[in-house]
Amino acid sequence: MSAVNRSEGRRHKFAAEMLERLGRDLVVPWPVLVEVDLLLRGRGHSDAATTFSEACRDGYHRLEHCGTEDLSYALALGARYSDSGVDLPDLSVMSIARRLGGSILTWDFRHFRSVVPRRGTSWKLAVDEHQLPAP
Amino acid sequence: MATVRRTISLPPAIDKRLEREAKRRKSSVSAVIADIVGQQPAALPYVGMIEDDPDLSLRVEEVLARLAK
Repeated sequence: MSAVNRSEGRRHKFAAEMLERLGRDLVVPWPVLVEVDLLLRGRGHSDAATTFSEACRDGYHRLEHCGTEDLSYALALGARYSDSGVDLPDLSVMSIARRLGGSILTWDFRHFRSVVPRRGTSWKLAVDEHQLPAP
Repeated sequence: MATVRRTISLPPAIDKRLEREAKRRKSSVSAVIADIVGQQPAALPYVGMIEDDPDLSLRVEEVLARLAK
């Protein structure tokens, strides 16, 4: 979202450069694509929503399906953290990161720090809190 | 993955390098070109398309929840 939204200033530039550098190494889970589409359309940015989907279709990033095993893991993890407010798109990101062994690119540190695979472990995040620029 | 056919012209020296690289990789020239181009950072078409709340990316869940009401 930061990469799409130029009002985010330095954070926008940081995100855009990072996504351009990652290119096809960046995995976009299907639930995240849907969430981005909903958010952008809900704010009146249907052109940007379509352009983002087209970029995923055209291979700028790697679109990743969320299969039954991913969903099972997401549901089990969500059940363990039912009071946290973590939603299915976030849980699907965690499931796919677990399956592919990659790090997670998110600004949602609250959920991705508190919902962990096992006690004493954590998700590997591509950006830490102190690295995220203010707008 | 679907492919398209395209005729391109190359300087002979580059063509030779491509042939050598394809042989080394035991691959086709087309695959080598696709791989090299695919590794280059590409300008993303959606970057900077909107002007909205400066904290929009930090408020995704809140905004989505409001939209659902």
